[in-house]
Amino acid sequence: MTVVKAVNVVKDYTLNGIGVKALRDLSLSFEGGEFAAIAGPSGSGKSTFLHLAGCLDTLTAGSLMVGGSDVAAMSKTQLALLRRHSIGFIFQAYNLIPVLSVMENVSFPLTLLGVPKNEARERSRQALKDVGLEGMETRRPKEMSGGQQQRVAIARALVKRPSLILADEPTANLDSKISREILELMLNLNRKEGTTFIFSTHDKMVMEFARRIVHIRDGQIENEEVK
Amino acid sequence: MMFSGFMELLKIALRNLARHKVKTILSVLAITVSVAVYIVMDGWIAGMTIDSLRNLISYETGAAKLQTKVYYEKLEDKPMYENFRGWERYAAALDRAGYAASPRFVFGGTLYSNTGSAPVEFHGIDPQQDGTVMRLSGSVEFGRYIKEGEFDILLGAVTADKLKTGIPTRPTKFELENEILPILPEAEQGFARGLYEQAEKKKPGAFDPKEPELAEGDERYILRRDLSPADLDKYWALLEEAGRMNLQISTVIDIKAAPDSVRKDRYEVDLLPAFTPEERSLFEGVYSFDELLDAWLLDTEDPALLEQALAAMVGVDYGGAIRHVNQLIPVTLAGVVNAPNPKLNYNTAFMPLDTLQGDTGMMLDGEVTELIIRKKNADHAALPGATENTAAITAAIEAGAGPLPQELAVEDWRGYGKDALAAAEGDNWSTRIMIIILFILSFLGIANTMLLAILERTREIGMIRAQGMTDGELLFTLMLEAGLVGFIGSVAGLLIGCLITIPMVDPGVNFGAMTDAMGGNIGYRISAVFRSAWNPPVIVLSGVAATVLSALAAYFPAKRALKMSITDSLRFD
Repeated sequence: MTVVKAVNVVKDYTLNGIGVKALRDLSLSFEGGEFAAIAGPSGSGKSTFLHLAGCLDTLTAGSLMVGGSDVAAMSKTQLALLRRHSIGFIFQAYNLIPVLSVMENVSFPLTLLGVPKNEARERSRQALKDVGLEGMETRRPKEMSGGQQQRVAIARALVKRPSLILADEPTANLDSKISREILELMLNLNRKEGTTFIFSTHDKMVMEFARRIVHIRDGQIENEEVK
Repeated sequence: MMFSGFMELLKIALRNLARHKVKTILSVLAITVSVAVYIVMDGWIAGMTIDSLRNLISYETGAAKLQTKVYYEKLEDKPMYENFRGWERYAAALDRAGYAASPRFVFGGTLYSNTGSAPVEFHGIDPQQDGTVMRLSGSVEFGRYIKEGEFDILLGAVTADKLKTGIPTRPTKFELENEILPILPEAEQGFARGLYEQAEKKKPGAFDPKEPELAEGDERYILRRDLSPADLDKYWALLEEAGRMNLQISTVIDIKAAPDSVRKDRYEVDLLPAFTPEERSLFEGVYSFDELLDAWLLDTEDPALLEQALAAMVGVDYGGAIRHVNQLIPVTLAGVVNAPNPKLNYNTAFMPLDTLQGDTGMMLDGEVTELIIRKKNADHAALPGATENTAAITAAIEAGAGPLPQELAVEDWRGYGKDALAAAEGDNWSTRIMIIILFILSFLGIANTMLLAILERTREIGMIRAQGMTDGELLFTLMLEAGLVGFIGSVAGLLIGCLITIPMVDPGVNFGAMTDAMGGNIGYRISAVFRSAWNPPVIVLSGVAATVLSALAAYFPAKRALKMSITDSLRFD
């Protein structure tokens, strides 16, 4: 099943008063269960594509189907609900809620889904166990290392069992040892759960792990390799 | 989600408040102060208004008055000639309908004592009947209430003090030794001296309007607090014997009377332009023009026609239709009034109406200027209800005595108490406006706090939106957070406001010195002690309003945050 299907996608935006053509007629699809990376230098458009695929931004032209739905035709609320049910995010800067504990951060997406409290707690505990953070449930984000915070972010993305996880430069702030641990963790989850992972990266290690790498430059596909 | 996730959102809101402790405390304090001030001020104004209106009704207006329409129109002048007769018929009709009524004749004049004079508004009252509608008789501080048939006068305490009549309550040593004791029999001087004690010396720099600077070596005395009524009665009698209670009313009795002649020029200047065509023909039917005297001369024997012509002339304020008679009425001070309504304590005096009837009084022939009306056994603590308004009382009179004559009308206390109602209304508004400004400042503070808090959490908000929270839910969460500030502030404000209001309700705040400094006239009919009143709907509403408005204060900062795209929010530094 095609999870993301972009056809002739164009994305223009203005940055500090200057027009930027981030994506130019980009056509790209990802199937369910893929562990793929979009690679390219800074400004190539890889993060922009990830944001469009995650329904965080709107495209200028072209068409984009996410989970079988045409995002251009959806309202802000429908897009929010699509994100809530089907998409998990892992950000370079972790973006955890500082006032909540690790357990509360992880269970937050379940709260939005209306999952009963006990079930949410149980699933969150399991997600934290999966990422190796068992016993750290009551800590606050600021009491953890960068690697641990990124694990929390992964657990938060996984806990609702989305069909798609978008990871924007997830290893950029981590050292190579922890990066490897995190990538192994995500690969294991991909194998176990069948969750689709799409990374945006220019980290070689991520590309080592990815089974499909799409290289983009100046908003267009440069080449693509499938392992 | 909104319902099932409410507790989670509440938890986030509470944690965010705890995260910015100083900002939260300052915002809560602002709301607390606003709500507390509002409750205290509202209770104070409500209390003063209620007390003021009760005192207005119980001491000045009754529930309503029957008077001539012209008298009411010219109320400021208190025109004694705009009086009426036959009030007994209306009083009887009211009595049958369950109302008490008491006649009054009000006139202005000057009251002379042995030492000075003061302009005074005199009220001729029926000493017995007046007590059924008013509470004057209970406010006699010294002496006794007035008696029918006597040339008695009751005088407000402040004016009595000014005129040096009645029992001196705060004489200086100089006054006591040179003005008071020497007029008493030698054998009683020791008794009188023993009634006083030295007043406490005021602190240096303290302001007390009752205490003007005394001459070097002089000092202030006050009546001892433990005096028995018998001592006071004896002292009163001694002072009366010594002539201290002898007073004299000087007044000009205004009597409506058709002039024998009207000069042509006065007719053309004063009457003709003001007359209606009917009044002109009425006048010309009663007066005939004399070429030789160049004047209009009275030329009718018909009393009804004459009365109509006189009414027409008085109606256009023609001075020639009022005859002025100078009158001096010797009276004896019977008692001194100290009423909760300060208007009675200043320049107001009461005399028996029957005494004023004769030629040695106001040369009346049964006329009164007003008939004061109140429901029998009315609860003086409550304001008059629907059975005591103009329409109800007019109906009661007309049911028992037939239609009221054209020139008479009933006016209830709301009409007579316009100044008191206006003072209350004005103060209500000015106070409310001040408090609303205070509220606005508080909410601007909260809006500012929320704006900064939201700005600081831009990335967090971006992430929460990325997780799938809708804009509506996020807006609700942020407003909930601000609403919590308002709620906590409101609860604290309610508690503090109520705690301050409790002693202000009972025993109240004594502003005696201030009211005296303002000559007793502060608009409100309250003499010294201001008591707050509980106003539960306002207390609850102020709390609810503060909470809701606080929540609304987050609306615009939140909308501003939601305008930013999620990707911009996530990139925000």
